[in-house]
Amino acid sequence: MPSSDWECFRELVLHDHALQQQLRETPDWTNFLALVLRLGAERGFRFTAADVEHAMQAARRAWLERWL
Amino acid sequence: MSALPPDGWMPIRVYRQDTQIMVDWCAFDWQRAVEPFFDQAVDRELMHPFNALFRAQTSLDTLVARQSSAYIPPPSGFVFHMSRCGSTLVTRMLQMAPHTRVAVEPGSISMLLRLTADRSDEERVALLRALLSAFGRASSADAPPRYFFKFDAWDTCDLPLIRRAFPDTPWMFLYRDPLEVLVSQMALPSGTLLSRFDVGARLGLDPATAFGMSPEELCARLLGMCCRVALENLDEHAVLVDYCQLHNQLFDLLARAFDITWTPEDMRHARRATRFHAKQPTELFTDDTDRKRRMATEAMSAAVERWTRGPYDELVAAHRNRDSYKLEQAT
Repeated sequence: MPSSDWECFRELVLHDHALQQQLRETPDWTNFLALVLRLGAERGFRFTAADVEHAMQAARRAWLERWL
Repeated sequence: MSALPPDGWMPIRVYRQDTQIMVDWCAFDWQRAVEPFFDQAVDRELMHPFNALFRAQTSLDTLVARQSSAYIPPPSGFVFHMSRCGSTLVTRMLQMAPHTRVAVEPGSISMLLRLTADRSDEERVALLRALLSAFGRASSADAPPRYFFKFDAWDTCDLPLIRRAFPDTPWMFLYRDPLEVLVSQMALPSGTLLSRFDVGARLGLDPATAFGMSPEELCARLLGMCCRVALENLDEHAVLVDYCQLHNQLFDLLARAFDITWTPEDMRHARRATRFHAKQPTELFTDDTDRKRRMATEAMSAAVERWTRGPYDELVAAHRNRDSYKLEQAT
C-alpha cells in the first residue's frame, strides 16, 4: 500500500497550482518519478519509488476497470 | 476533497459510488484536444503520468454547490443529431473556429442523464447546469472560452431537459435520410445501441419488450424519437441542418447558428479539413449515400417506413417552411 506520506503529498499537489504545473511539464516517466521523489523529499514527505509506482499501477487499473 | 480542482481541470467521468454520484477530473489541455471525441482526448491526457496519478474526485453535490457561486457563461451552442449524419464534420469545423472549445459527446453527460433518470426535472436541470458549466471553466491565464457541446445522438431524447438548463443557448439538429443512418448503424452499431436495456429505457419500453425487438426496429424507433423530439422543440434558437447542405453551406450555417466569425485563414484551414473523413482524418472523404442505399435490407426499409419516416418527413417539412430555409436556398 502507498504510504500515508504519499497520500499527503498527493493531496498537497491537488491544492498547489505551481506544483501541478511543474509536474505536468515532465511527460517522461523516469524523469517524472525522479521529480516526484525530489519534490516530496523537499517538503518532508517520506515515500519511495515503489510507493509511487504502486499508486500509478492502482490508478491505471482503476481507470481501465471503470466500466466493470 | 471538498473544493473543486483548479480552473483548467475538466470533468472526465461521472459514476456512482455507493449512494453518491461522483465526478472524476483531470488537468486538460484544450489546445491539444484534436481527437474526434472528447473521451479520446481524455485517454490521451491520461497517458501523461501526472494525469494518471493526480486525477481528482468530487461528489456531484460539491460541484453543484461550488459551481453556483462562480459565474461561468452559458454554453455557446449545442449540436444534436441523428448519428451518422455529418455531425462529426460539424464539430471538426467548430473546433477550427477562433477561440472555441468543443466537447464532443463527453461520456460524462450521457452517464449523468442515465444515473439521474429517477430524479425530478428540477434536480436534473441543476445537475446538468453544473456539469456542463464545468466545461466552460477558463484556465487562469485565458479569457472565458466560447464552448460548445455535441451530444450523443440518443441524448436528443433529453433535449427538452438540456434546453431547460440553458434556454438561451442556440442549438442545431442535424438530420439525414433515416434509411442511410439505419444502414450505417446496423453495420457498426453505436455503443448505446448495443445496450438494449438503455435503448428500451429511452423509448419507454420495458426490458422484456426491448429485448424481444429486432435491432432494426429498436434503432428505427430511436431515430424516429430523435426527429420527433427535435420537431416538438423547435424555437427561435434552433437551426435545422440537412446532411445534403453540409458540403455547400456548412460555414454559413455555423456562422448563423452560433454567431461565428470566420477569418479567411480559418476558413481555408477548415475547408481543407472537409476533404478528409471526419472520424478518420487520415482518409479522404467520399460520399457513401448510394452505397448505403444499396446495402439496405427489406427489414431495414420496413422498420424505417414504420417507425421513422413519419416524424422525419414532418421534420423536413418544418425545415422547409422556415424562413431561414428560404434564405439558405438563396445563398
